[in-house]
Amino acid sequence: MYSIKLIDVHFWTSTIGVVLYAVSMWIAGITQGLMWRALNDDGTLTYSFIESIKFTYPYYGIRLLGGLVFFSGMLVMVYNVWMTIRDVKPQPVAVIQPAGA
Amino acid sequence: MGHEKIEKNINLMSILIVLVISIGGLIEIIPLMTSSDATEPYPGITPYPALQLAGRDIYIREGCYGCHSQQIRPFRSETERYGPYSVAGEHVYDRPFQFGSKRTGPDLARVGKRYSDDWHRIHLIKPQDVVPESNMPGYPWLENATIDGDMLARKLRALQILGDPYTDEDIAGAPAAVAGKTELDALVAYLQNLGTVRSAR
Repeated sequence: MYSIKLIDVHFWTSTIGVVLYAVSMWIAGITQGLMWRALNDDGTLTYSFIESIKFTYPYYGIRLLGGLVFFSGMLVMVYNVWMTIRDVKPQPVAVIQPAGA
Repeated sequence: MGHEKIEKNINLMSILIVLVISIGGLIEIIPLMTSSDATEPYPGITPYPALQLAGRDIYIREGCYGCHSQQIRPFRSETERYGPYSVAGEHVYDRPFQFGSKRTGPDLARVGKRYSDDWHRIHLIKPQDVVPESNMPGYPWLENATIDGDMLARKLRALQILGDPYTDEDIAGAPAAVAGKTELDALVAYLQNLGTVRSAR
């Protein structure tokens, strides 16, 4: 490859991006489920539905951030691949000759 | 029959896998086909009137099911929020049913009569005008689209052939029932009827 360092950059942006994406949606989803089923002592609902949606907005923001980080890594990969395959010239490759040939 | 023989014969294994899955599926499905709870309409449930059926098709076309379920689970927190839990007999005329499991928005199984027609009109065109924090998109084009009455009559005919108890008068009257109605009218009519038969506690 053109740059081993850029492969590392792609790896880490993908890892961090996915983790941000997954953790934020995990927290948002579980909490939303708990909010839907939360009851007050008198048996009434603690939260309206729209409150459960409002709660998730910051986590959608984190998901967007994670997605952008992931996507930026993909762009780095495209650049790296492009730099690797451009101007390819045939390279002489040493071949081991069998003994006695 | 030895395990090795099955593992080394992909055709035999395929047949046996299909057999096992079929038995598992049929044991779940066949009893329901003969259960009156699931095949007979809940008292008061009738086939959708022409305008509501048109609205239901718009509901499906616009992908409302992607964010809204129509099945209230039998849990206290669900019945407290949405009303009495759903039963199978309420959905015998739903082809296809809209149960769903994704609730980006609230369940709609009993949304009928909870809000006014005007609220629904404003909400469908721009939800944030009535619910500022809503993440639902607007559907402003529904207001300007009319319903094809002849096509609707053919849909009623198809449902009649499938066994829904529509009369020939229902089918003949379908174009007149939706004449001059917009898609917004139809969708509101559909939503305002959802779950109303069994909503009284």
